[in-house]
Amino acid sequence: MSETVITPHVSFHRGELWSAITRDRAAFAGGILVILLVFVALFAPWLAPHDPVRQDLARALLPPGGEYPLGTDEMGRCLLSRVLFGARISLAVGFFVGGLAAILGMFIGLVAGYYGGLLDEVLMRLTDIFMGLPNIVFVLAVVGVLGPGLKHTVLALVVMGWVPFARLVRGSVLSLKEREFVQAARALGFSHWRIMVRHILPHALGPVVVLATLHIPHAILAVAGLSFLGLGVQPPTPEWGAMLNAARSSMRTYPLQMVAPGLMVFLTVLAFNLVGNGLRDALDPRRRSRFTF
Amino acid sequence: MLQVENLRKYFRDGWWGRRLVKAVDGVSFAIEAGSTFGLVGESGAGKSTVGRLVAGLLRPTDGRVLFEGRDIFKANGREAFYLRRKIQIIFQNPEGALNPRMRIGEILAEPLLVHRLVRGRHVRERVGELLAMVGLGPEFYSRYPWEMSGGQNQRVVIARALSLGPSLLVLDEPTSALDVSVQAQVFQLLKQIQNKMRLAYLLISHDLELVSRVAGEVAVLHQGRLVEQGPAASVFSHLCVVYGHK
Repeated sequence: MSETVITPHVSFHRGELWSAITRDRAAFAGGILVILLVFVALFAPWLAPHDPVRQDLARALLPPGGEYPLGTDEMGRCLLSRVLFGARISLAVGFFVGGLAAILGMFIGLVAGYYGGLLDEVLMRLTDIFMGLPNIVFVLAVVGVLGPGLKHTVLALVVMGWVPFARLVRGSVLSLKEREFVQAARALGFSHWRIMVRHILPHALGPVVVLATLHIPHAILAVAGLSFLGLGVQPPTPEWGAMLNAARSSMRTYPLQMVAPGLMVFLTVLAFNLVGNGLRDALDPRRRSRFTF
Repeated sequence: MLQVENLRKYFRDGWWGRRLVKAVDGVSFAIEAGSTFGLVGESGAGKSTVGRLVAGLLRPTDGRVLFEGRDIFKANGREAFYLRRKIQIIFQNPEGALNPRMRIGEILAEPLLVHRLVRGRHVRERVGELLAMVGLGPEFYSRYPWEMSGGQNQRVVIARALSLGPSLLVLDEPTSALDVSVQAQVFQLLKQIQNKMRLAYLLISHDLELVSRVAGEVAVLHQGRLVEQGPAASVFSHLCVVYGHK
């Protein structure tokens, strides 16, 4: 994934952050799109006009209109319903992988940065090793060994995903632990755990949220890609990548079969990236100053 | 009450730690209960390192720090926890010493709860007493450190240290980040607390004039070694001669 430059532990106050985001129109639009997508995912069973997996070969490849707003696929399933249900898997995977990778990486970075010494050395060399592994190759290898399926793909993505979080948090912790209030906490006899969680971690959290937001579209794209290759979500489950794969054969005659899920992937990834970039700018005082003139 | 014996702290610096920096190089002194011991020296002389060693924030390369006869670096478990309470440190920059995400009330309550000095429902009451002790009203309870002046923050830092019932406070340039008028007030407060609670102070400062006014005994640190030690009056009259020549 791309290395994002984020200034560590910039303090901000709630109001400032909010106004910085609302003034950034792109991020605002992205935010609305994300909310919309979450809404779609949550209420898919009510929004979808049909059962997304029920096949009806007599009604295969119907054109858009009437009972089927986007038409049907080669198995006679409602395309709109499948696209709407597809949001569930993609968003769930995005949030799950982003969240778990963030938590795992945060913990590793926190411990490495705080204790330093040999532990830091070992953990950071481990992250170097993971950094050196090509992402896709590793995921393919995991799926190759464990077999295709969503669970294995997600596992592989989490195992690869924690690395940038660990490095980011470690960097913040290294500078935070020299701050006087952390030294004061030590002098007051607080436990290491309390110092790490109550006094250091909250100050390192801002950039982590940004990185996690940018990690979500990365995970969504990876799962869609693997499903497209037939290694992720298996049919008949409605998933955008798998739908793109299924639509290949009828691409020329029924392009909507590909456009619909493709557009959804595009919009979802775009939305999260806009929000992530907006958050990053809002947290970076050098960029924020541009808006305050 | 506190004995520092042949204390050494070396840091490795430079490429691959090839350069050895002797920040503190064989320092010994003793502090009587209820007295003020001044440690002066130029910047980089190792004053702060001595303070941090005494406060237990750094481990010495060699030597001992004895509190009531007990080596603070050999203690563990309950004893270490107890010794932690007895020696507290006040830093130079008061705002930096307070967690900017916590309210003053939470900052003062935390050590009480960690050391189980006060039961849950009495915490607020005790925090109010601590604030009063340093001349702050209960309205500060819900303030954040960045909403307060440097002098007010330093009072909070002092209250937090006092909450653990220490016998020795290490004052590491406690007022050099404050305005001159506020400096005097903070020192008056420290003097008042010392008389009331029989606290001992290890005052670390480069301000000779200040130290000569408040310290009973003084030591002069130069490149990690003590070059002068004795009652304030005699050390300073001699120092004037030395620095006068320079």
